[in-house]
Amino acid sequence: MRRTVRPLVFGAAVLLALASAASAQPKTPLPPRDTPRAPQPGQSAAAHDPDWPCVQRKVPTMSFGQVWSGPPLDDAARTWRDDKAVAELVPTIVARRTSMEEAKAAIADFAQRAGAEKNQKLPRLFAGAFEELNDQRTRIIAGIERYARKQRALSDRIKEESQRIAASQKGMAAQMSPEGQRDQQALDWDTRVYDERAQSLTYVCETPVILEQRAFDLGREIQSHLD
Amino acid sequence: MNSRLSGRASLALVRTMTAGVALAALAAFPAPAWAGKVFVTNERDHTMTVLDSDSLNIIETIKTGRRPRGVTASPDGKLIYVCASDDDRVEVYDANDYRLVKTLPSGPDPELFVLHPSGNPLYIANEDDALVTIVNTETGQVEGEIPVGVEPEGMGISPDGKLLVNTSETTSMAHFIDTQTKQIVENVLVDSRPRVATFTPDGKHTWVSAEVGGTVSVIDNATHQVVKKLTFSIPGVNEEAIQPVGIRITDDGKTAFVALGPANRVAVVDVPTYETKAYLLVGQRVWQMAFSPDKKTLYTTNGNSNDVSVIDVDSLKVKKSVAVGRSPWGVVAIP
Repeated sequence: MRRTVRPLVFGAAVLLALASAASAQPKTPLPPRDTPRAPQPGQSAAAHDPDWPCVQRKVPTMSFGQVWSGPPLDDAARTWRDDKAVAELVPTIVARRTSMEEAKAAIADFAQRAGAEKNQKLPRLFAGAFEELNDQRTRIIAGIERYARKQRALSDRIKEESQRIAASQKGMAAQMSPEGQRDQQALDWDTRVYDERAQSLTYVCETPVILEQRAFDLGREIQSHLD
Repeated sequence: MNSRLSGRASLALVRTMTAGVALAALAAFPAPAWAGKVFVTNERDHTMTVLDSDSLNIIETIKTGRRPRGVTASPDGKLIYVCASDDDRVEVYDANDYRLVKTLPSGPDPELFVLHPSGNPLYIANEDDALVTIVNTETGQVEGEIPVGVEPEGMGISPDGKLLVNTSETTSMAHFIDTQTKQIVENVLVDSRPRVATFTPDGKHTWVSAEVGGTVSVIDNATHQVVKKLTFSIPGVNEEAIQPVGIRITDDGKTAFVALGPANRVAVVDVPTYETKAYLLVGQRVWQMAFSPDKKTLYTTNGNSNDVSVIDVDSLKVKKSVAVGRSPWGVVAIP
């Protein structure tokens, strides 16, 4: 119904437009209505990088300004490892097994113990956590790219294997031969591994996002204790 | 979570009081006489969260149509309109008892819309069909369809209701539409992927954000010329993470807020000088924003951290963040 009405309405609009004075037309014309859609942000980058299988845009490293609006971190980034209390706490708050509630409690405790020094020590704590999370994230991104390359190699192999089997096992005898059975079984396994990996891709791709959320949450929490 | 936050707040208050400026602290965040409501659409949950604007507690979660995005309120604040994008309709809810009052036809894939200042009609951007659909909110009748550029989204209307501006993402244009004749007056080329169009309160300019272009174009509504192009730069943030989307301008026309997407910041722009005076850190992937009815508070939807940030407009402080549903998209506040 809608499909038939719309061309009519559109046609009527065109006729009306033609009938009205030419001066009513916009100076800058509209493009053709069948122009293909522009890619979503991030889609174009993904299309150019066959090793990036995720729908999320590939951002190789986090930038601290996305999660921190406190004082500049230049000094803190250089010195956090030398601050014993900071160096001890960083691995705890970045670890995934530490819940955010536990991390918040640990940060509050740290801020209290830092006393008058907290405005120096808290940026160091964030600088350390951010560096560690960024490192973890970089390794995961490299892992995702490796994963994508392996999947591509596996998909090529499955294609070759199935073509070879189809060509060489034309008769029932060839299919039932020990060699034929072995080939078919290998193909089945490869296909199953491929499918399972493809299914876990969504989860794999979420991992960098989870680390970004962690960096954001830690940044917000640490900043809340600054004067 | 709340007790922790209020604990921290009272601690801060005690500290301020000992400093002897308790009165100033109290005057900074005056409590409203009665609480209003804030409605937030959650794109991935197919729900709408209702917050009490005073306590910021969730008072209701309404199940909506699929993929709710754009949301707005009738001028009297009694009705809430929601674009249910994947159900190809606009849903109208009672702001009091949260009942679905009726649905309106919207054309395919409605993403954003704008109400005429009088409350009727509703102008809807149909993302999949390169159309702006005009719907009578009383009768539910489609009063017209205006062909625009590819992937229309942003919708702004002049304070007098005479001029409508729609932006199309693929075409990268702002389409100026005369609401009387329902015809395009002019198409203005802006930067890549325009998302939102907002009028200045005096009706002289339209601000159009470009998500991929990373800019905001200020267009003179009389000449259709881009009179200013705003760019943004934040220390420690990659340029490509700066993706402007939502724009809100204060009633006095002096301050504009621009949501910068995955930069997780809201830029605060001094309108007379076009200078950015602050970048407020809010939540992850901030897109849409709405003022409270008294214009003292600005709410932002943060799609990746699944929360709403609450900004005090006078002090430019982010007061609180409130967890809502998954992928919060649109927001509107009523008295």
